[in-house]
Amino acid sequence: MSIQTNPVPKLTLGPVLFHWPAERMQDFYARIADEAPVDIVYLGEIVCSKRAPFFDPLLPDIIERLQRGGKEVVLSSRALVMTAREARLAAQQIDGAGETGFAVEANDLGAVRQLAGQPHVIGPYVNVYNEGTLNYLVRQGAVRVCLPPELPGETVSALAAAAPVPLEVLAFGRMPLAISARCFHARAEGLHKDSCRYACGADLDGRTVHTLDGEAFLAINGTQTLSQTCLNLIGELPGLMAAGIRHFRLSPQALDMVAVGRLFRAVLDGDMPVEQAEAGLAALAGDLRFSNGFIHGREGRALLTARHGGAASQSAA
Amino acid sequence: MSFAERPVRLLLLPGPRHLAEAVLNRLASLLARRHAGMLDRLSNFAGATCLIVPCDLPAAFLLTLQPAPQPPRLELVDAAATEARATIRADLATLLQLLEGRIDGDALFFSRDLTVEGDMEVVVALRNAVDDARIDLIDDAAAACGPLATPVERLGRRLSGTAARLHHHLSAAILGARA
Amino acid sequence: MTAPLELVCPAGTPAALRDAIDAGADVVYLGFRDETNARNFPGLNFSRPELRDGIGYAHQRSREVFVAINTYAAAGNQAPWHRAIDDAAALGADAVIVADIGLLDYAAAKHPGLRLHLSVQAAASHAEAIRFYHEAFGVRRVVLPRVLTVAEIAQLTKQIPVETEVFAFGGMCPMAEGRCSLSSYVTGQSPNRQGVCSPASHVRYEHRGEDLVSSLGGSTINIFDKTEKAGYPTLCKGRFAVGGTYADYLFEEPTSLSTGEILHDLVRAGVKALKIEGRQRGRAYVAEVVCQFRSLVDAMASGTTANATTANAVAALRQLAEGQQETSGAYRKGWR
Repeated sequence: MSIQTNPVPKLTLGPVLFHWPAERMQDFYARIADEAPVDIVYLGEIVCSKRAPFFDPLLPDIIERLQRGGKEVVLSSRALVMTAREARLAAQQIDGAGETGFAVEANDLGAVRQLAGQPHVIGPYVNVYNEGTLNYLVRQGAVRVCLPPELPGETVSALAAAAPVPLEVLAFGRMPLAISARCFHARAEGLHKDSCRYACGADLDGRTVHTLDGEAFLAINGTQTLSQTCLNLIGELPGLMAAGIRHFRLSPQALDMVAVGRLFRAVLDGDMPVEQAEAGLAALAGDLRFSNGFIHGREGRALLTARHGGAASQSAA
Repeated sequence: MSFAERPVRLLLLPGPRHLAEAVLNRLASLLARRHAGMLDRLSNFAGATCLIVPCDLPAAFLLTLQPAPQPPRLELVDAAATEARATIRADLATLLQLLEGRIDGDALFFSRDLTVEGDMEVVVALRNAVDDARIDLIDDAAAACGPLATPVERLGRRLSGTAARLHHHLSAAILGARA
Repeated sequence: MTAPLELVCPAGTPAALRDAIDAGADVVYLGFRDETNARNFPGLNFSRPELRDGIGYAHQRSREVFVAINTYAAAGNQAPWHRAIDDAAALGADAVIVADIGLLDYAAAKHPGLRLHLSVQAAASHAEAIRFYHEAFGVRRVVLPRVLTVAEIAQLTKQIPVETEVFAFGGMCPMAEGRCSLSSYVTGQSPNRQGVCSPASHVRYEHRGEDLVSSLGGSTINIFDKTEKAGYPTLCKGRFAVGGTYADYLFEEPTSLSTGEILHDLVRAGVKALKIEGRQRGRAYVAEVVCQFRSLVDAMASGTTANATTANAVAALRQLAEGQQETSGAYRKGWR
């Protein structure tokens, strides 16, 4: 048996979770294609089937542009499918991807069933909490699995130790926490979901939800609820790499994602000290507060000092 | 409804506190013995204190959970001057119905006939443990009297006749308030 | 005449199991006293001997017991979940209610005779997803997520080869179940991993003047003035402020799902069983809800249309609803 060298860690870009205007979307992906040091780009409207007609027509050009930029493109399936019509559309999307030779990321079990027997990626909306589930999905054809964000570091390590395929971890961006049949943007505007006027389009990063005592608490994104804080695992990268994780996902926010990608890339390549990259991210993030509690086995919104740092973890909140 | 309200009220008439406490602790160890599963459900909470305040009475009960198989300890205290990990407040009739699992604690809380403060784990564990135990205070007390059980039970239930009528009114008031 | 709906009722304790069966439950569902089930609350649930006795009590009366093992097994420590499946099978449970793919795979391989139901925590909301669980593990029944309309359920039951069970009464999640990390984000305790949502250990009530403030993990979830019904600070049932103009129940009102008035629609939609939520509620509540649903289901099965008895049952259920408010939830499309 030959000695296996650790493959170079890859940086991936998750699907845009927000209902950005078409022009912004095109500009965003053009810059990603040309400038961002990411290896894999996930594409697709995964949150709301009502938004898809805006995004889908842009896809061919965006895909072409990304491929020209040397990116591997993966199409992400919808996270919550309810109606028969949505199920049909989801199935067509997956069929279409297969015909054009794209890999698909399955974000629900309907997609997993449809993709069984062919290589596919498992997305963070599929509940993979243990070796049993992981092994089952790999037997069905999963070639990479992106873990749900709420997993603690010890679970990630245990899964990585057992995983016959590469695992991916969400490392940056507001975390997806819940998805509903109900649209909370519409509710907040006093509108019905069927006549939502695409209220979610007004918020490039989701809309902040405050407690009655004025604490910034969560963020809504149509039918999805996101963390108010922005996950930032840049300080955890050395520990996660030591555990065997080789894929790190950045989730797009309305900030300079090319710059974010460069900082993560520099740390992954050992070209920049973590502290310097952390300072760089803080400068980019503006009002967004960071968190990393889940990986420390704590409440997700907590911000603790990185595990590799030696000092005892403590909450900065 | 609980037949035990009247006897409990009698117990709390002004008089030597240690006597009442002795009776209460006798009752607590009796309940613990007859309902062993209850202590088992509370086994993670040894040392926890819960202040139980019948808001229509001058005194309150301080319950201290102890490691199994020891029964919980009960003291009569002044609510205002006592610290505890959790506090439960309601009128005595409601508290006794809760103890005997005859009424839904959640509903009482929603309607604000019951208020809780402090460590909710203690409150929830107590509620669940007690709810499973099927406590019947008079029946339980009578069982402790061995051959005298039947006369004691009869006496207890007669004493509680007045309390029972009072209860009817209270329950009606609570239901009315919730409608 | 229609085939009677099966009434699947909650029990957090052995006493509640007996009361539910005495009140007319066809089936009682319950969990072990640990993190393997989604109602892992202090002082609640069943030891192995309690389950054995409970199954005995039910079987003597020709009723059934389902064991919910519906959290997600922890990597590196799957044994407690595997033991739960093994013990439920050994003690004669009539079905286990499971959400985790790894556990379903384990149960199907190790106990081929054990009846598998798909927990709502798997949030299988459409035919493809449900077919997956049926084909892969032989799942025989799906507990549908609380996000579907009656019309969608009707369409769904025609497409799938398994029975459907729907929530009939009790607390409701506005989110797709089993796919929600809100509690985990705020408290570090998650429904999927620890079997708790908005856990009691992180709940505080505080009196602020005449107001009652409920908080979770130090964040205010609701403020009730003295005239209002109070509520438990379940995260998604709090009041929040959005964008300066909105300050109210954003995700869901503190209401109770009730289907007392749409049972006929559910039967016509092909539903097999009704599930009553509330393993964490007291046995007085459980017995009362079961009793009212028993009378409604029996009336329907005997062909009785609405009469004084069913009207009384519906009214009694309204009294029992959380905050005395009820909703037909997602079953009516307007909910979305």
